[in-house]
Amino acid sequence: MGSAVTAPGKRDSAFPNFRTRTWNYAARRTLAILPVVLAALTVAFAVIHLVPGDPVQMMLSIGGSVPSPGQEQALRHQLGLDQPLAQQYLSYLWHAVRGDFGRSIVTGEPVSQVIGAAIPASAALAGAGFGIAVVLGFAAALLTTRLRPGPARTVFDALPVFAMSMPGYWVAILLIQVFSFDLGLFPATGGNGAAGLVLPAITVALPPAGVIAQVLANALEAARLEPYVFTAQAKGASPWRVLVRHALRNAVVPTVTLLGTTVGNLLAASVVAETVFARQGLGRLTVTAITDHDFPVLQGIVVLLGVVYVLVNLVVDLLHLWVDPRVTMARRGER
Amino acid sequence: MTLPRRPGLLLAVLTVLALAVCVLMPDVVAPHPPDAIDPAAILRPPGAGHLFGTDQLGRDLFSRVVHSARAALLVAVGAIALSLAGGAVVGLASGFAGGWLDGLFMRAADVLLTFPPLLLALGVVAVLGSSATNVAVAVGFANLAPFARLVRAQVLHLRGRPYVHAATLSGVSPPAILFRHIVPNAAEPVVVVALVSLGAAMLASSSLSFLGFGPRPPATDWGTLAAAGRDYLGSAWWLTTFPSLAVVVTVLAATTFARALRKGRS
Amino acid sequence: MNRLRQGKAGLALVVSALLAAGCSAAGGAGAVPADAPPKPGGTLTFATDADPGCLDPQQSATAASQLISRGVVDSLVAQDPRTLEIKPWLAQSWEVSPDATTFTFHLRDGVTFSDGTPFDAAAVKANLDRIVDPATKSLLAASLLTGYAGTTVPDVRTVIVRFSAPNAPFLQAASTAFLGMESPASFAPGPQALCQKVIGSGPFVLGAVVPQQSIELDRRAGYAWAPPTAGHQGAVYLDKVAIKIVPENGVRLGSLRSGEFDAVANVPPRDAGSLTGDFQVLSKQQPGLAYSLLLNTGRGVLTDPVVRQAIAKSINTEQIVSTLYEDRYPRAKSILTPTTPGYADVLDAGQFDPGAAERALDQAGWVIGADGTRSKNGTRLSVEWTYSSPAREQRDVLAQLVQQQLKAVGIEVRLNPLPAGETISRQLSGNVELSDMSFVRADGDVLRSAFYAPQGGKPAFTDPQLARELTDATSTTDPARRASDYAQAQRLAVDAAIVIPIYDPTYLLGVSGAARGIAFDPQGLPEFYDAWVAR
Repeated sequence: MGSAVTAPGKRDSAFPNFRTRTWNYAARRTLAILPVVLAALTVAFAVIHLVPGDPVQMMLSIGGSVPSPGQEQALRHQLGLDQPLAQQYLSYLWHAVRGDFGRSIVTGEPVSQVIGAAIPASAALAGAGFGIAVVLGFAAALLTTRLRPGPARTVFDALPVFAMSMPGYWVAILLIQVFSFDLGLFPATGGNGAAGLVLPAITVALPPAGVIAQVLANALEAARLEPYVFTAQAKGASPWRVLVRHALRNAVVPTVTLLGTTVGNLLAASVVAETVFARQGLGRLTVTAITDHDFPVLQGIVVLLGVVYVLVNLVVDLLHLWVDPRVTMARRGER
Repeated sequence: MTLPRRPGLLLAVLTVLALAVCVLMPDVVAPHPPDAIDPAAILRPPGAGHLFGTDQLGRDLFSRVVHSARAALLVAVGAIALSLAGGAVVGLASGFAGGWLDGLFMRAADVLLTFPPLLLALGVVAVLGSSATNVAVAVGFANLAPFARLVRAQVLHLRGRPYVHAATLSGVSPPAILFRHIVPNAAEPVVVVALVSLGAAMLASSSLSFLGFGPRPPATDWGTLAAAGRDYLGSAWWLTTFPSLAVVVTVLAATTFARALRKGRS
Repeated sequence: MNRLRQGKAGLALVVSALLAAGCSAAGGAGAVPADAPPKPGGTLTFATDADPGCLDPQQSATAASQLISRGVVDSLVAQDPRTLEIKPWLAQSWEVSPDATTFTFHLRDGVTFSDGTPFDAAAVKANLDRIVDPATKSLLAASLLTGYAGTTVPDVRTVIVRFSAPNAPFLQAASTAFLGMESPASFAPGPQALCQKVIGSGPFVLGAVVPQQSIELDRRAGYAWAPPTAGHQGAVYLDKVAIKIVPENGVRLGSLRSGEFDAVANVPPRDAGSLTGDFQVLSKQQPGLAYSLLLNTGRGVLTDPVVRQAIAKSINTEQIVSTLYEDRYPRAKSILTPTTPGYADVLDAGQFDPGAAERALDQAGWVIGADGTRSKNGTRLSVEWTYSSPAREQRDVLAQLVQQQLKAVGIEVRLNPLPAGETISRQLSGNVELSDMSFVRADGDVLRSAFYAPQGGKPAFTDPQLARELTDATSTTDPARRASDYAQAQRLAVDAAIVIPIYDPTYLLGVSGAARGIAFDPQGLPEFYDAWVAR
């Protein structure tokens, strides 16, 4: 992230005025994440109050025993539900800002610890998935653009659509059947290091790969009509060189915008993938927290997702600045 | 017109017709009642008599997939109807009011847009509990943003037009302007977005069902059918394959229509 | 000499377990012959089906948790898996007072917990006191100590456990992992910390635990106090048991075939026949409560005995076990399973008779309506069935099958799947109409768990005579009198149709040719003490 901020400065150091504006924009953009984080915190706070019925009763019933009135009161107190709403909210914010969301109702561990334990596995899955999605998406788009209209082109045009139309659970099941059971290439269950990561990562990568391929192919198609592409062609550059060196550089801009949705889609897909592949992670944690009515853990997850969301979008905006410095000027003109 | 020359579109039309029949009169299409148990025909592979094979209770999978169409589509279509209605209200308010309200709504729409429907739907189900209505509400809410943006854009675009301006000046009420001028103009792009969102809604709701937040047994949709077949991955591939295929085919049909409409427009 | 004898006995035990399971002997699996001697070292990979949650046996009540903790904690006494007799373990000998209220144990010398704490009389007292402490929130163990009046420690090797009322089943209960011994030094951080850090004196030490993903059991070097019921003495053969939690039945089975696991838990009966060649299925009928439907006599139409009996007569258990379980789970013939002490065959001929059910309902004035469901004076003949979802052993599918069977005679079943914990808590508080359960325990006393809510909750199913029989059984050490009490209780419950037994739960363990020597403990759960890997 740091490099993304400094890079434009370096590139445009010849234009000091431009550089200050860029810095201003970056700073403003960074500050703008605060209201969104506050909103996420508030939504998470609201969760426990929106539940129809008594959340305390629901949470206690999960342990499989009949709660005594004393237990009920203790939990109500522990969750602060016996205080006035405003006071609850402030005390919640005060604790949440310091990463304290209380304890899981089911395991009794601090929420930060429960979620913290799930983050590395999820990050590995999302990271691997992201890499695969980008590689597949770019490869498909470049190949499609190079193909002349015909049957092969039709097939390649349809591939991203198929990738986006497959329910994640079916992709996971098919991968397991073929690569784990029939070929025995990769394990069907998680926690086996890199080998165990392959199939779940492909599962989560397919839909975003489809999106990237489509958007990039369209942008490449448009870029080919630009004058500089003609110039390059006229100079006798090979078609691949024109495509990669000239068209791709410009077409990549709209793809950067997709980064935000891609990360979101990866996280969503990991809910299903982690369940089918029996992997530890945030997705599976979410599902169990829902079935167990483990509201403190859910609150923590909501806030974490909110924070991930704003960070990713911040990175997207700053990346934009880097790949396309006109952004600041355009945005300024808008206001 | 050009249908025969576009096999993809032809297939999509046929799919929609087939789905419509399944939704409207499943008993006509399905050879067996969906919950008729047959101990003599357990886990039969696809073949004559049982097109998609049978499940662990000898129930005809084809009949179950056909009977699940209604639940599966109802949730998806209901969700889109909800996002359409909600999106229209938000978009109109945003477009006509402008100012800080517009800013707030569009910020919220930005957030919703990048937030995957499945995660949002999971959140709603976590709070409200799992039922077909809640899933529809959840997925509908998640898909609200594109509609709101579209309607807002149309409002802004048309507000500046002389005839709309004239109508406003001559005292025509905003709802009348809405239905006379904005709705007809916005209809086509809205349908395109609705078709694309339908696919997303279908995928999100069937994934929720697969995770166990779907309709309550004995009711089924395609997601719950696929989930029920998981126990037999090695021995009865058809149990997960056909319900999942139903989802894929439906999503593909919606996407194909959306693409065709978009191409036709441009 | 003694050691040799015990080794032989253990080998015989494993072999007999295989034979009892009706399995063909392991044919020449791979390079290592079937009768090869155990080879020390190596890691056994095992896929279990359910996330055990809390691993502390004194807190948890689940079999999934017990499967793990059994290797980590030792018990005062051991139960012979074959004869179900009680044998010495951490206690070398014991005396029981004739009124079954006082139990004196003489402890073994030289035992240490894996954290170095010595095992002595004070440790036993600390464990039992902890179990009954409400702060421990014990879900099952505390109920096994009903009437606990305290433990005294006359000397470092002697413990006297007292009960305020007779508790004859305590001796068997003391052999289970639920009353297993944990290091008192580990109690300080509080019960929740212990859920993932159980420290016992067992042959395995709890290694890395990744919630919902994996658990490792490591060899405890220097272990030298195995019970005489074990297949060998001394430390375990394996370096490690790597346990993975794989809830998907299909994935578990496929991964056994592809070699990812050496052994997998709970093979779906339908797929058991497909494990051939190098693979085999070891099966063990579990003792305890048969999988049964419980009818709450205090709720709705179920208050009417005619309705209850009609339901019992309309359920075709024969069809259930053949359709869903390919007869690998036997049809239940009583509330207790045949491998449980106190079992009485009360339903040999079965009770399926839909004709009689329909006649009885007709006579009682339940008339079939337009939608096929009966009603009487405006009351629909409709019951709600609350069950756990996700369910094991296809019990959710079973519920759909029963729903169809009852529909045929005009009884409507509304299915209400809930998360497991919620289901149990509603059962305990009597807030269900129809529900289901099975429970593993090698003693007829398990009936009390079903008919008495353990702690404070309202008992969901009360019948004064049933209560008398069960109380009488706990107050006598005379096996004949206990057996007759339990037989009477089983008959009463089935005749009044407050319980409808469906099938006898059977553990189907899938093993590859490499997994050797996995035995079943008396609870019918796989045990890794004698296990080794042939590769």
